[in-house]
Amino acid sequence: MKKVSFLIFFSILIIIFSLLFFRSKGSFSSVDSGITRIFSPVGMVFSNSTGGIRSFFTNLGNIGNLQKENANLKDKNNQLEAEVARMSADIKETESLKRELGFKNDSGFNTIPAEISFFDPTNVRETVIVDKGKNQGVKTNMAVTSEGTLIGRVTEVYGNSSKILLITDPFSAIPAELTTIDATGLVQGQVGMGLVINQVPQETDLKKGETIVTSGLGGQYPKGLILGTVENVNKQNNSIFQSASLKTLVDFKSIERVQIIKD
Amino acid sequence: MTTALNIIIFIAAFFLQTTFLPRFNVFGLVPNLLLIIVAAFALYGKTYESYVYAFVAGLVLDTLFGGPYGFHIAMFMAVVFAASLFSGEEDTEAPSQLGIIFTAVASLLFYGILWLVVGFGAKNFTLNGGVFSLEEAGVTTLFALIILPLARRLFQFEKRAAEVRRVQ
Repeated sequence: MKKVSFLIFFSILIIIFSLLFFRSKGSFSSVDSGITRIFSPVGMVFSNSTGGIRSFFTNLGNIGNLQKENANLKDKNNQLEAEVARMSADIKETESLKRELGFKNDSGFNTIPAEISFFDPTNVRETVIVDKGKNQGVKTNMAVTSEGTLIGRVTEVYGNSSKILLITDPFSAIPAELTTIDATGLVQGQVGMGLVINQVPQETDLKKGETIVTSGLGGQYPKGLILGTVENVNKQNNSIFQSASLKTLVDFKSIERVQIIKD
Repeated sequence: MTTALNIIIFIAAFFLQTTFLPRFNVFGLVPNLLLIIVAAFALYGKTYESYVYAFVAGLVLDTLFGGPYGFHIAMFMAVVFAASLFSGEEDTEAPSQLGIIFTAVASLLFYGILWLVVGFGAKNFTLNGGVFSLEEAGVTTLFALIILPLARRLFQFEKRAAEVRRVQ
């Protein structure tokens, strides 16, 4: 009995290595696409319903803080209105300068809206599957945002679905810059620990709450997309660079809808 | 258990694993429900059937998600193979503690190997990978404490029902 079991296990191992070989040759794209097509619609129904449940419980837990938060937001709103009035004049001037200099206007991206069907089950890699693919114009390496924040890029495209590598994945590295100071760094994901910005020059005055955006270096991501805000700065005197953990502006586990940036 | 029920259990576990559990994680940790289900089938069910379910579940996970292709297939098949060494065919009388210890060890190995295979390397394994594997194995074992005895009951019930049908 155990001998037969071992034989089955051994033959399955051979099948796995064959699968690995054929996949590396690109022979499996239709199989991948087929499986994704079968599972995506049901996954989306599950994903959307669980997202709603999570939001409900989160809001219920925070009800005590809502009044305080509301008062703070009213104050902030008044400040912002005043700021908007001042900035609208600046925008007119900036737009005119941009046109003059031939810069591409970063706002008004052409996007494809998509919904998340599945999350990676292992909790080691941070990938999600969305319900838009090649047939809707999605291509690999397109940047993906949610609520105005960069959340990842497209790594694999199937017929009607795509795989997105989130910025919180340990293999994600994004050239970034600070919004208030002229300094750059590299935003990377960490297993179970969110985002960190590394390689920030030691002399840079990193402050808590500082907004970090994409620098556009390397051309993989458009310039100026929000990545997060500085939370804890890790500065060591004997090091050339400093690092800091970042607070993301969106809860990656609650995201339901995303925007895939076409151009 | 009947094939239809087995398939329903696997499909439900798959969707829970990929849509529900990541959103309702326990302090950022996601239990490996599919690993528990594969272990339950391997320990208390038919070995050949368990190989088939493990293969299909692994294939779907490997196809849909990142990481090395074949990892889930190999790990799930290894779980069935290891279980076949510890317990007999449809061994529903095996103590629950055996299943829980087996799942704890299997999940610890699963996450440890995944950490190395994904490419984080052995250099920082002790500090990060080891802690991560222990945490994930811990939360998976907590879920196994609830799921495995239930699965064992289900298999026992179905085994008795099959014996009654055979006698009649």
